[in-house]
Amino acid sequence: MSSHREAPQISKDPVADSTDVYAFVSPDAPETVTLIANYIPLEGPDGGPNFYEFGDDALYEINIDNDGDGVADIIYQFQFTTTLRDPSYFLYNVGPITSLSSPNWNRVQTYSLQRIDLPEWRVTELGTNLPCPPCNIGPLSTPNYAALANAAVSNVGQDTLSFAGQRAEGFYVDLGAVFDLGNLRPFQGDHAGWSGTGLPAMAAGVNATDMVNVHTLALQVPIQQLMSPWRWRPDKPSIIGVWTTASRQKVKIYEGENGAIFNSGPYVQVSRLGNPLFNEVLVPLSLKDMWNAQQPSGDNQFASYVSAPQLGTLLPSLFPGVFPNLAAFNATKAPRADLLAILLTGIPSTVVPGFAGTYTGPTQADMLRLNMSIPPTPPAKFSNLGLIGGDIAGYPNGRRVQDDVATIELRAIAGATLPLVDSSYVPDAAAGGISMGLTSGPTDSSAMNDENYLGSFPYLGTPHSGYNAHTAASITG
Amino acid sequence: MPGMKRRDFLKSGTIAVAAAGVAATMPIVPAALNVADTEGPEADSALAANTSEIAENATQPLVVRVNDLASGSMQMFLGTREVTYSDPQLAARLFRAAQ
Repeated sequence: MSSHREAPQISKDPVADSTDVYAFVSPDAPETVTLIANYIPLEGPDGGPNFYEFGDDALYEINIDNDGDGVADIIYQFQFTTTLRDPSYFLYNVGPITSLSSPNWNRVQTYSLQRIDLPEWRVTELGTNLPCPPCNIGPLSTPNYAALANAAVSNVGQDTLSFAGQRAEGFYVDLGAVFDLGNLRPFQGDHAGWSGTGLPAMAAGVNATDMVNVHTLALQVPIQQLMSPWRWRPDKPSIIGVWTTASRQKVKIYEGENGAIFNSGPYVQVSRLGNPLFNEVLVPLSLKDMWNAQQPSGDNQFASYVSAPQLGTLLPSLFPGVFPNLAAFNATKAPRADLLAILLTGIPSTVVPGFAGTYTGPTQADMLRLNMSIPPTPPAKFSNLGLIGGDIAGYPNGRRVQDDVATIELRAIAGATLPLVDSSYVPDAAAGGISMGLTSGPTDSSAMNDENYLGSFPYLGTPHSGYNAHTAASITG
Repeated sequence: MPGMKRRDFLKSGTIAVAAAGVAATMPIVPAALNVADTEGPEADSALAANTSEIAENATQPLVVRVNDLASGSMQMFLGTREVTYSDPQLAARLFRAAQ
């Protein structure tokens, strides 16, 4: 979910499978923007002895469009190298790993980072041999993990911070229920299939991702560096579109006898992600793999699945009598202009009073749009529902780690955002109330203490420790 | 679209070679196959002379995928490069060598 295992092909290639993208004005450094792209879905923290790592054979990118054409103007490229400090040894580590240079750490990953500015094709090497932290194995192997991970935050020049390594999954969702015919535990008594199941009419949500980790690429970049010098003006909204991609070389040959793999040819894109849930929820199963290989600039080919989302049609059937207004709207066959704006063009400045918008122009492109001129919301005014909760610094104006994007998009598809473009439409009461039951309310910034977000870069929490993987202590890593 | 071309460039993109005579840029093909050049395009004789020089610079294997025997359409992968190439005679020799 969000984009975990969202397409048939990429679900078989987790190392290249992007799971979430975040882009937000950094709350503790508001002159910067933090960009995060997560990979490797649903990592079991105790998944050794070969713990999770980025693919040396994959090319990871965070892409930024700053002129609204759905084409990258800035690309940050990450490429990884794995080495063995003691090739004769049989395990990941031979003793406690107390520093990134520890000889006890056997299988070590580093990365190179470069920024490419287009259309000049200007390449800036931001770093080579940058350290990744090890995975959080347990108190004997990684006794002070937070400090170890913090040491892997690199200042790569240009006032830019970089981090690449394991983090706690920050996205929260009730996978078990929602993939069971769109069930929502708090409202399952209203589900068409509930009768006879023996399930209670109401149940608490289950955060399926609170015990797993991901691998994170994170950057903190000065705002002005994300706009082209000749385009940036302090009196104009500074809106960027962000997405991540992973690419692999076209040819892969298994050598056989020595167990090696040979790769050749140019890199081709196998995964991408901008808005959460776009490919997963909106794109037909037969097109999901193809979608992953496309550029945002060509997303008008998927616009029909946004303007008439299948889930929006299904909701009145799945929850009979709960969404009569949505059913009536669906019957008109009118396009969902609200969703087209939120997901493909950005929201014009005239739509939401007090909100400068995220509109980037008529090009339909699935990008996570961030209006960088909007400052972070003070904690006292935070809403995990973002814009629909009255918090203009939250999704779909970028995406913060705390935003309840599953609920936001569910409510949007259920019609909660239709009045933005059709003032005569009255949303069903359920559209403003449905959720997966994973927060105590809109002001909850920790998903009822399931999430352990940090207050500073890289914001996603310390990864869950393998030793604590199936214990109550896992939340603290 | 323009964006695609820019990205292709960044990723050591695809190069199309339409004429067989341009095969002078790909001398590793006959060298690797150890096939006589009597069946190949005239350019192959020039290739043979340059083979040793090119081989010194070739640090990676060349992968060839013949897509259509009749037209001789094939893709060649070398490092992070891809070349599309058409040579019916070479395609025929490759198939023969593979049988």
